[in-house]
Amino acid sequence: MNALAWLAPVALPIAGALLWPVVGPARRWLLVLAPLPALLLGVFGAPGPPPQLNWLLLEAIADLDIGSRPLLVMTAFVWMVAGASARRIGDDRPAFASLMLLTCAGNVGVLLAADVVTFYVMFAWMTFAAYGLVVHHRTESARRAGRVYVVLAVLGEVALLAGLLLAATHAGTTAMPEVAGSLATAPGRSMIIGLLIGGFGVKVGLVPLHVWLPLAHPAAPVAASAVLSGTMIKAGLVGWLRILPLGEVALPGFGATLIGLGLVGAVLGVVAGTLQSDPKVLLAYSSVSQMGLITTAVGLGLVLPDDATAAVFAAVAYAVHHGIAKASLFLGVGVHKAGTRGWSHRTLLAGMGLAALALAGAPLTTGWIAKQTLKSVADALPEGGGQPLTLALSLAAAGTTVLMVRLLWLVREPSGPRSSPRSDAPADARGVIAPWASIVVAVAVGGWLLPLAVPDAPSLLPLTTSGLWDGLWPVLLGLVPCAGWLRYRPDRRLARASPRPAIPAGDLLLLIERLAPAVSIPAWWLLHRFDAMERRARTFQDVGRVTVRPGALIDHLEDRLTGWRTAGALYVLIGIAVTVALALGTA
Amino acid sequence: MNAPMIVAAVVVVVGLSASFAGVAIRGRLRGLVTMGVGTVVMLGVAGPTRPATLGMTLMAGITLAGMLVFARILARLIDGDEPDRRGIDEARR
Amino acid sequence: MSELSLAAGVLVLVVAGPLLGAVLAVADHGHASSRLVGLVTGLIASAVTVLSVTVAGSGTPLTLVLLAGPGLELTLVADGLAVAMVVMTTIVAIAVAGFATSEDRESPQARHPRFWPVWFALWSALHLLFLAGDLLTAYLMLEAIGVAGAALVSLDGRRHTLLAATRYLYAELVASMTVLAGIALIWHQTGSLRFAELGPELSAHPEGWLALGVVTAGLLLKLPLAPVHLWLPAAHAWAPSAVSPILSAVVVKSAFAVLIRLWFLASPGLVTRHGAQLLGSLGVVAIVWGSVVALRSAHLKQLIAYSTVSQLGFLMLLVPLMQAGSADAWRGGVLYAVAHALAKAALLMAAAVIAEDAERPDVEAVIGAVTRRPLAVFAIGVAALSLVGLPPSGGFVGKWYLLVASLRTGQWWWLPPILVGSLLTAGYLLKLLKRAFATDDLATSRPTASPVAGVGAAPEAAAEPADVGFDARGALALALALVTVVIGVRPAALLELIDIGAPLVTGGG
Repeated sequence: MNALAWLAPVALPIAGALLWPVVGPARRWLLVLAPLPALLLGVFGAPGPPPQLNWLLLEAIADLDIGSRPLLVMTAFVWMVAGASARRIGDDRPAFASLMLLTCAGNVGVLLAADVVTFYVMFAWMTFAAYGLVVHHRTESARRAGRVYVVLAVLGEVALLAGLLLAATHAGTTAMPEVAGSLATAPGRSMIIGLLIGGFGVKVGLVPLHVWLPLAHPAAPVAASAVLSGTMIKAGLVGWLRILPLGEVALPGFGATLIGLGLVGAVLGVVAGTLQSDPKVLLAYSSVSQMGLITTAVGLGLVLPDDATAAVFAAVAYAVHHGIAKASLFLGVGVHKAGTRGWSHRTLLAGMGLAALALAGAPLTTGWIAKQTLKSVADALPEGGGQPLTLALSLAAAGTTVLMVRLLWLVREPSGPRSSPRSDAPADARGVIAPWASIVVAVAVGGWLLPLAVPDAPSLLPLTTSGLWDGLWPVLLGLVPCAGWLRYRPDRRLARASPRPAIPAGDLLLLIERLAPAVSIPAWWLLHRFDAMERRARTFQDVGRVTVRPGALIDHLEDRLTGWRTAGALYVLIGIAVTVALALGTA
Repeated sequence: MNAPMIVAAVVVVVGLSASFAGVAIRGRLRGLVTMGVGTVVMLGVAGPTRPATLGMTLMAGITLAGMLVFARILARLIDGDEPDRRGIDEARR
Repeated sequence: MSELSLAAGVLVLVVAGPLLGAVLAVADHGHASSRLVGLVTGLIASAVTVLSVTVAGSGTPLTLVLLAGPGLELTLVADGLAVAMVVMTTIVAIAVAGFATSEDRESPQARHPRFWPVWFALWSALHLLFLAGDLLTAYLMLEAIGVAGAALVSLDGRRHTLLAATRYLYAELVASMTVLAGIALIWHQTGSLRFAELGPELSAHPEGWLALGVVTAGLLLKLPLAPVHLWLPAAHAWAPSAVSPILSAVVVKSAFAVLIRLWFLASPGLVTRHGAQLLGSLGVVAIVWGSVVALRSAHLKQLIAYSTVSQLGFLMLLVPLMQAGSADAWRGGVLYAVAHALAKAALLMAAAVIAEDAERPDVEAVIGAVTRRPLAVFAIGVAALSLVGLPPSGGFVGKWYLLVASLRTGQWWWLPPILVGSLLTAGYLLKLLKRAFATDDLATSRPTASPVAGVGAAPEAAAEPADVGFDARGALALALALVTVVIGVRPAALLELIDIGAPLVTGGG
């Protein structure tokens, strides 16, 4: 029973993915039910101590530490809601539903794994399964997003594998707490920590590794965007919190770098996001910005080992808040795409407005709690370093306000049902409104449940009345430029001058792509040349592959297997798997 | 692994992903060349500096260059003429 | 001393013989006469015979250091594995040489002038690869084999064969460079690349795991093992009829030989149960997937190519069983590799003859072939016997030892894949045989056939193709297939040969 409680959260989604093609119409509820065991485990805790799963991988260890449990609840909940809103897509696109379930298993597994090997396997699993979600639409932009995603993901996985192997070898064990503890004294500590920060940084969207994020998150169907931006992005954070020697040793260099990059990300996300006209791209940039703030919390933990617990709590509180709020905004955009009129549109605006206020950190919202927690940690910085940082955080909140006003502006018009029947949005908006409404409720009350989940939370939550004003003024400040903008509408003139956003999605990537011929970095050179060659590519890809007869699953699979990109991904996976398998037997 | 090897290994990984994810024959070819440079450098900096490493690196480098030249010739032969749909359809049958 | 130098001379001749053929073919402007081919193959055949008799007689591996310069070491090691593979290569190559010269006699101008030089060079590289005593030579030969294979596929210059060859070459290049990166890691750690010296040095260490993992991945792409078989169906199905037997039968064994040599004969201290089980599981994936796609294939040579994908999976089962400490696995795996080479080459040669007759590339070409090409159809039947694993055939003996090994080591979970894989193999090969023995429906489906329909009314003349005389190529295919029956009837000699220098089983769990 106990082992079941620990295994079912991962096993059920996998079973669902495998069974999807054979189960009847009831299968659409699999998407909703599969994350349920994870939710129950997170809410009620396990009936017993984590079991030793000696037979699984390399003596897999499962555990939930203080940070993972709230994240598990949030993750499972967001997956259920996203599954509910995607349940109709799965009817005609079985591969999509199966991939959603597989990705869900990996995402939950990352939170439960407590040894390095299981953690890595789950992390890689999630990453590569999510590739299928990114390229789901098979449009040119989705393909481009997929390419950038895969290149950065593979680089990140390689860095992670190297870092984890080195760290585990030094620790002489694979249990993550011990590995993190021994990392403080490991030889070549800086290199290992650098690899781990970079490897997880790809997932978190650490500047400048964030370039895939504004491309990939909007490319997927909204339900997948919600989990990509809401929960999966947090897997990298979990990696940092688990494996970095937080509280063991002060690492001012790495900590300051993370704080600096986090703040750069916060600003970049706001500036680039505001210039977008696609609400999904805007939301992805908002994720870059918000993850920048969370990165700042992790950086604080590295600088201040004595306050590391508080920093971890701040990061987790922020991550829970952001996960729910961001998922609700993405799903809101989905509802808007599906079509809203009259009262339903007003409800949508109200709900999205609430989530927007929460992201901006308006008083008494979940965002306010998260930001106050973060600021209280920043105050602990020595030599007056706290004051500029808290000010920077407040200004970031003002920027978020601008960003959110821009988002609401983009969805202000009611939208009729889309004329083209062939779209990712469900034909009937009713199917997506209910899940969206439930997550809006969670945005409203979720943050206040946090203290219940964490035993010593009250002492960590510095909620005071002066904090109310502290949360309010950045929002008001952010509204000032918005009012000016509404008055003068400079965007109309800009739009006439150039129809494309001033900073296109992918920001730095485009810069690199444009600079590439000059500096001739081969990989970026390739990315730059990709699109021009797509046509000739087809002829090359086709030869010698099986004839695909309509409806024949085997033909389709074989066709996919003999494609270069699938084969390449499998090739890398096999290489990693053999290496890991060799490591398993001897460790 | 020493530091130069790690740098070379990163080049190899970049080249590897480009050779699979590259678009069209030329794109893949560039990935292959990148990978080749990375592997040869990796071999060159792998050993203690003794003649053996040099000899091996030379051998491997020369043969790899030969293979890449052949790969380029094939790419030229294919890219040289217009895409011939008939041939492709025949190949798919 | 004289005996040793004789053996050394023979070893050199085994490698240099085909090279001599290549040089002579170049001198002959590429149009190798049947006399030249006969002379060279005769020379190689006698050298290989002497070599196998010497090694089998002495019962110990023969080692010859040719070069010992820094970075240019060259050591030849003729142990049981190497000699078995060389014998296999030579038998197949002689049959293919006969096949190709017979083609040349029928249409002398059709042969590309570069065919014979490249073909002989490929043969030489294969021999050197199997005999190589160090990883770098093996790597260089893998490269040479890849280039020569791709060159042979590309020779006819039609667009889709060029595309298939490019696909092949590019995959080979990626695999080669992956292997080379792994070699750099091994070199960095051990300072040696000789198989015999790697054992104690390459031990449980992150870099060691990475090195062996990287080399293994490269070799699996070279093999290729499904699911990374992207290049095989295209290259093997579109290769000329005198090339695909060599590719499908022998060339695919090159990476296999290096793989098992590295894992077991070099016995690095880090081969683990997990790693071995993973390779075995990938083998099962290949067995099932290759057979399933082969069952659905409508193109004749593509069907056979997917059959190769599936058979390579069987070879991979050697790895987990060997790791579990079963000497039977070594015998079974290597013998199966030899038997598969003979049967697959026979199958492809027979298929080429039949498809050329029917002037169509799909499986329907086989319909009614028994009346036109009885020898070729008989060859397909005998080859099928071995590929499915029915006694008496080499395929049966190989599978038997694999089954015994899995029972002895308690790894019963390999039994179902072996049996199911054999059933699926029977399925797609029976698809061919059933058509071969069918009455000549082809006549009605052919555009040139008489429009008169009806069982008794079909005119004899329309169904009867032009008289082909003695079917030399069909006879060659049949002879090759019958060799597997000989192995099946009397496997002892080959098994004893394979045992020479086989890895010591440690009886690990």
